[in-house]
Amino acid sequence: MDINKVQSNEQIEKDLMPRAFGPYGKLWVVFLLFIGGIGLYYYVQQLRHGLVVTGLRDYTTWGIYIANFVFFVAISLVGSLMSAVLKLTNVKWRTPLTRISEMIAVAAIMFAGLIIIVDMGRPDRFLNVIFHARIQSPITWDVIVITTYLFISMLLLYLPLLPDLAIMRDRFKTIPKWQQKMYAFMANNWKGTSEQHKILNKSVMLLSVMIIPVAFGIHTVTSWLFATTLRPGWDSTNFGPYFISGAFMVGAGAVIATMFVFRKFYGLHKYITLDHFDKMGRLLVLLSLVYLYFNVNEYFVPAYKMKGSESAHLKELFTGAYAPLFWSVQIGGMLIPIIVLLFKKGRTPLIMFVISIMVIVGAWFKRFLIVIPTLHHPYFPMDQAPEAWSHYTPTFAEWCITGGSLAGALLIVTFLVRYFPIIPVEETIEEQKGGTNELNIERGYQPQIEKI
Amino acid sequence: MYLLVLVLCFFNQGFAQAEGEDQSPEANEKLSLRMSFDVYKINDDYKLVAKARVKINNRYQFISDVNVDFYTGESDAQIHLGKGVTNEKGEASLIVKSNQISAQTTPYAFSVLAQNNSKYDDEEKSVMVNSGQLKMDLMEEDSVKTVKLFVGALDSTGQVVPMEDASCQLYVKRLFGKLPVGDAESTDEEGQVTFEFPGDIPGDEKGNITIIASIAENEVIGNIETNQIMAWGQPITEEYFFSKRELWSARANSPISLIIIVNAVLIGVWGVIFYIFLEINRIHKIGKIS
Repeated sequence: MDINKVQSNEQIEKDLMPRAFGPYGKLWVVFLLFIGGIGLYYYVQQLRHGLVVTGLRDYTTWGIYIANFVFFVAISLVGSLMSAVLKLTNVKWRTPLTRISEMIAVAAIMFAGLIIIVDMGRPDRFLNVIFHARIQSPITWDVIVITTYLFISMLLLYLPLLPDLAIMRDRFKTIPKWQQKMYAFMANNWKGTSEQHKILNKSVMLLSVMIIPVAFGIHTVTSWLFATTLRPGWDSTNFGPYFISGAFMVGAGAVIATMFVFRKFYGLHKYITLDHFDKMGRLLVLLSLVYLYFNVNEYFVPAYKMKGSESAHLKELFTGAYAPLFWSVQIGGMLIPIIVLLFKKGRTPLIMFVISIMVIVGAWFKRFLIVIPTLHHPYFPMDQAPEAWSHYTPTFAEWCITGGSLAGALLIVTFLVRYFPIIPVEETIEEQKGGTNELNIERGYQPQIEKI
Repeated sequence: MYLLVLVLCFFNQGFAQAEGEDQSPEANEKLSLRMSFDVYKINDDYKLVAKARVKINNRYQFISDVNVDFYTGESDAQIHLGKGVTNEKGEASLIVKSNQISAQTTPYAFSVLAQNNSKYDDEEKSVMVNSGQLKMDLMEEDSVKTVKLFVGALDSTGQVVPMEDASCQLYVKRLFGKLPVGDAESTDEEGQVTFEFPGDIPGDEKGNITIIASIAENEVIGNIETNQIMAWGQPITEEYFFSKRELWSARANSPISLIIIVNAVLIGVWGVIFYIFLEINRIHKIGKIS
């Protein structure tokens, strides 16, 4: 189908409005609920018996929960990348991808907050972190900035939704009453007046500007949880930008994976085009190269010096117990994606989907490698401690709880897509008013044509 | 394929570690327990220390949670002194007051018995201890701090006989143990030895330090120790950094500059969020009117 062909408003609404789950959708939800249920069961066990059900002990006090937390925070940064950075730089092709990004951001940041509570031995004392907060502690800053980022991300998801919510309120008359009421309540009396549009545009612009420093803040502060200590592998001035560049990279990977899936299962080929994949592929290469640069700084410089305390840690990563995982992550999760995506043939949907999954999985294990091996090299010798404390193997319960949290985040995205348009409807209509896609007018090139 | 490689790498590393962990004995097999037993006379009391270990994978390891009973007296008339459980260092100890063994005659017999432990065989160790005497006098003459020790042993009539050639060592008590002061010295024929005590050892805020005189593994009187507190140290005035407004202080003493910066950022950002909520309310009102 030729995407130059102007779609009627009705056609766009029909194509983009949310729809009930098909058989695959239902199966997917059941699968996620099953994984989430198992995670919940093991979390109840952890609540009953304490953190002893995990592999965490006196030396390895942070395990896959914290690795997962860093991963969630990282992936949540994609909201600011697509909604703010690309908006403020006037990149028009981002339109169909902004909402997907914001949905991923909201789901990820919610579970980042939850997984921190899961990591607490006494979650009932969570409020103490707030009531007895030390303003000097990066942990306090992290709690503040995560909460702030969650609110801004939710607002950036909600505000651009207003016109679409009004369309759903006015068009969907055969849906259940509760759904009608929900759309009516959330549409917030949106009538599409010029004054409402003005307020909306101003608010979105204000949030877009503000979310960038907050997004940088959230991941910089997360990196400071590590970098403000003197531990080998964490004691680095490079950590803030290293974390942020990695976050943008995995976030872009998550958007590519999600756009591939929804494009395929929702038939959105007219709206998420090959050109979008090409653009996202180029963006991912750029972000990966930036991340590669910070990786070189992070590992090459300490390896050149091989200071006593750093050397044991680095050797464990380069040639020791963690070497297979380390090199798999660096090569499979960073170098191969860069090489493949540099070529035009590599920027086709299926290849990019595979590459994005490699990036995402590589990014998760990279967080594992950042968090855990350092803890095996404390400055105080591990004297008179049981031998088992000197290493860390996550327990089955930990895997299930971590898996449950990942399933939970995906479930949120799935339900958001079920009830809200995945691509901004009104914005797409507005962009097509000129008879062709704004992207193509601006860039002045022939769009690719794709058969569906 | 990449996922498979990653998962294999991860579990390969995990299992490699897990192999090293499996050193526990089989459930029904009792392990042979090795005990060591030492008695220390500290001032007038006795400290009994038992250490338990077993051989696992050809290496002796100290074992925790072993129940032991301490006794005094010969085997036909033993008196139970108390119980103990070994800690993670494999150590169980008991302080015995002098009145608990007043009915005994020197040399005293002490024993430790580990029995009824589900994982380990029973084991017993005994020690005979000749009662010795270690007296410490602290004196200061012409600004020279002097420690004078007298070492004696009780003979069969209960009389104290000076001990010649007993090696004595001075210590001061520190936070994590005992710090030796100078070299060990041996007693003369009158059982006496004199040490000059240094004047530059840090004490508490009043200069108090605990001076310990000790004889270790003497063939006649075994382990014996005595201590006294004396204001012979350098008074140390601790600076309480935590009461100042510093980064490492408690929350009540946060640096003012940090409080201002964090609150300014918070008010700035949340002010905008609050403003957006007001704008959402404005959108609602405009919609109502139109």
